Amino acid sequence: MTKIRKFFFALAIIPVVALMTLTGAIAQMYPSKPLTLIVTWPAGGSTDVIARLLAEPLGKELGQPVAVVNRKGGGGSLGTRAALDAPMDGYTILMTTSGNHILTPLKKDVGYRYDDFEPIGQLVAATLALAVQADSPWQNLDDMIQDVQANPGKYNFGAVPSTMPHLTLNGLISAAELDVVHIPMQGGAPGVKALLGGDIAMLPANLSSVASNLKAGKLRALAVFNATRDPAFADIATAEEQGYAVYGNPFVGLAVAKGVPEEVLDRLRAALSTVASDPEFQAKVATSGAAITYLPPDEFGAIWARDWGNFEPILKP
Amino acid sequence: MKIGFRELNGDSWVALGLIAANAMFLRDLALTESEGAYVSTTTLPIALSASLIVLGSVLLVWSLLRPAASRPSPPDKVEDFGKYSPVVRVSVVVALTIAYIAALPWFGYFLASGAYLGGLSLMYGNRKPLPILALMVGLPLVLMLFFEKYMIVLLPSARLFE
Amino acid sequence: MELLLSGLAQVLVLETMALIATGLIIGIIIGAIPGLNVPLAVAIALPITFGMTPIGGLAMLVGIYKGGTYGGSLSAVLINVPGTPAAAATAQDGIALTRAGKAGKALKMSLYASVIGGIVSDFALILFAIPVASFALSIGPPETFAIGIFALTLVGVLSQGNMLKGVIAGVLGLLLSTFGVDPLTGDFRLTLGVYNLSGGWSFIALVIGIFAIAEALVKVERPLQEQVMVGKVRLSDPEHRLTAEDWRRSLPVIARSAPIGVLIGSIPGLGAAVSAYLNYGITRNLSKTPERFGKGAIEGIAAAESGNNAVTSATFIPLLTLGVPGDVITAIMLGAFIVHGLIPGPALFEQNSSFIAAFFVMFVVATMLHLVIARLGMPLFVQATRISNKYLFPSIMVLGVTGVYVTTNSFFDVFTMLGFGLMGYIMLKLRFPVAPLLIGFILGPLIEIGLRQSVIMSRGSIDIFFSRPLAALFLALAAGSVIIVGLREWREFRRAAAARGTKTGEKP
Repeated sequence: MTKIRKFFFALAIIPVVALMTLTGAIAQMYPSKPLTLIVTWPAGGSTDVIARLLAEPLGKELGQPVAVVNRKGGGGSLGTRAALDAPMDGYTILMTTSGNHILTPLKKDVGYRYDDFEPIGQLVAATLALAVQADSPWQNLDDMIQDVQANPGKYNFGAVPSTMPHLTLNGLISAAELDVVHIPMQGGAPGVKALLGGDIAMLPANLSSVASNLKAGKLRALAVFNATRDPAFADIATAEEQGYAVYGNPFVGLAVAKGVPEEVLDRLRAALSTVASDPEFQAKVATSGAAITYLPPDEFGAIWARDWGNFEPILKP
Repeated sequence: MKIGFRELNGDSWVALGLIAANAMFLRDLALTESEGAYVSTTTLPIALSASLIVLGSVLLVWSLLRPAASRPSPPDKVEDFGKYSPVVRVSVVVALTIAYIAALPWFGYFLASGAYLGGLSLMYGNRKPLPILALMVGLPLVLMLFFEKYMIVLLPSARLFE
Repeated sequence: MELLLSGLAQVLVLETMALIATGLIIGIIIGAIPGLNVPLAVAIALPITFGMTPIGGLAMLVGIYKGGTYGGSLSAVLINVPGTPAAAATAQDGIALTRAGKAGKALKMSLYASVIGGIVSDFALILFAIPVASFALSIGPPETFAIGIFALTLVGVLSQGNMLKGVIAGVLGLLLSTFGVDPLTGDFRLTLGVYNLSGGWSFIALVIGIFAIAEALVKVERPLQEQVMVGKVRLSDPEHRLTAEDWRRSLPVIARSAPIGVLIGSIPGLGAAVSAYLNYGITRNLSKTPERFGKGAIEGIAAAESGNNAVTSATFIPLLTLGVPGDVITAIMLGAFIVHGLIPGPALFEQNSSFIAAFFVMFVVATMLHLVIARLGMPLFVQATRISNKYLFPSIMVLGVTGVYVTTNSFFDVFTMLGFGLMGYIMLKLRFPVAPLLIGFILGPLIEIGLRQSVIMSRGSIDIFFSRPLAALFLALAAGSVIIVGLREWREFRRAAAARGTKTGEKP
């Protein structure tokens, strides 16, 4: 037995020594090891796809691989907190969205605020559309609003609770004084299925999640909640054109915890700006139904503050 | 058929545990402000928790009232469990695992896994140094190469040595 | 037809075939290793496929999906540690056969049932995608609720002879699934002040805990016990062969389970594990000899495996025709389509028929290669029963920790896995059936969401469950299932009581 014990002791010592010498030798250049990109939503979602598309060119630009990590749960708060709790060395980047960055911390006490983070840059501002079935009698917002006002409480709409699409439609509902019933959905895809199956009459959704059904003529969009029309779907009028100044632009961008050194921030910001202007990357993202709307860190930070201010009175309990 | 109160057996303890845990859940649920149309946030959990308390009580009564003959007979004591009793062995493995998970972020994946595999090998009755060594180095190495180099999925790194 | 031929030409090139085969091998290995799981494998292989041709990249992912769904049954049959949740139903009878020295028989039935289920699913995708999709669309919240309740009654089937403990395990599974965020309002509940719990209990931690870790803890009690089988296993030995009698029992079961699996796969949100258990439960309920189940009934393996593999292609039906992924894995694969500029949905289905044709052909080719590769590998797989526990279980513990960490990146979830492992161990020791816990956990959200969405749709009335024919049908089936199980349990109870009565009666 003592023999075995000695043997294990020796075994434990060797790698410790080896590892210590190894880590000491690594030069103090950022980045000197692989980076982690936290996605706060499950694999396969629209945010996740953009993250995985981004990981490769961003890694190439930084000279170190970027590992995408899905840390879902708690309305995105678990992943966001994980990014906050990680060492502030710039090796943990957060793929941040309106949901986990603005809406969840406003609605629930999750232990962080929007300004606990430093913006790296915005990648995407998604377009929201209001979709109905192709055989619906409604051709535009006015049709829908008149019908709904004539039949209060008759129609249902589907949306994931307290997400941008939900809150944006709520904006329209209060502007037009409508009585429609919210059926909570579990994601973009279940909402599309419920709309196709006739369980709901309308669906506010990311344009990307209804794009295929719009193109095939199975669904029709009554409006987009954008300042301007979406270039890929130029025939869909904005809500503003139809007389309702309702906007909703859920963002996707990169952020790190406050406290990361300035030179690291600069390196990350420069890398993201290079990747975002690369036409090949833009083309890849465009096929996913989103368009790169890169914004530099200061403007991205301003959007955080703006959205936080907009939604605070609505969501704060 | 003789029926009478017996000493608490495993089932009774599980039943008591169930009742206690669900009492705690119910207290937590009662303090949760709940919203939602028709069926609220806490309706279903409360119903499930309450039924577990009922089911737990049934199990408790059942385990106390059952005739002795129908109880599962205790495992054969003649069987050779090695030097230590099963409870001790299982507890040691659980303790080792807790130590392993706690050590991962500090000592890194490779070291912690190697040490853990060494300890487990002894617990599972392996006494051959060379095969143990091969397992201690081989398995973590293969997994690290697969995940970190090939798949770009990061495993815990050693915070202690940075 | 011409389209399918052109598709065949696209798929039957060496590169695509090699990618399917690679995917299958990776899938079978990952599926079979407890701790590593198929969604994880597909997610981490996803970036690798970005650089391939669209059909090549998808071929590899489909290979992983099909291989992984099957691979889980290998470890379930051979070492009683299901590699995937869907294979847990296979473990019930698989391990009984292995312990009786008939591992080859179980493995063969599992493979052939898987392949037949897979083929049925492939052809359902190719020939009936549109009608099956319209069936899936008719499954609204009330139907989802009713199917969930029907599937839940199978908890009773799986706890036969031990009803109280089975029901406790099932209800506990349901309760555990409600922790964290309320799926309908976004509110937190049952977080017990622990912020990590706002994400709920991790599914993967639960599965690895109650199956792999619990089994490892049971095994450490007796370190001197050796491997399951000693001596080289030869598949051609008579005890490893499938007899005509085995086929006579299994074929009708497969013929029923595969179409059910296709329908379940086509309904978004159900998935392979539900299909495996539903088919296992139905088969046991309809069997004339239900007492053989759990003790090595070959048709139990046939039902579970044809059921879970029939899901694999069917989950692509809603993805391709509606743009809605059928399960977690197809949701991840959505990314692979998108990267190549293909947005799955009706537009792709109608307008890019040459791609769709190639995609369809690829499924059939994948299923054929699955048969070949798995059959060739079987003599190797079966030797796993000869690996000593001394090496097997330390490795399983490390793989479990690694798998959960890599999937969730949360040490909290890794500790959770250990906690569930301990719970599973206690349940095994006190003869609580573990499967109902898993079923409850999977069905909990389905039932809750279905119920709450339905009552909002009906503005508070429960009539909606009886006025919609499909919902009413499933609720009636659920009632029937409860009656069958209840009668059987009652009869068994009476028989046991009578036996006890005579025994005590003999004593003076």
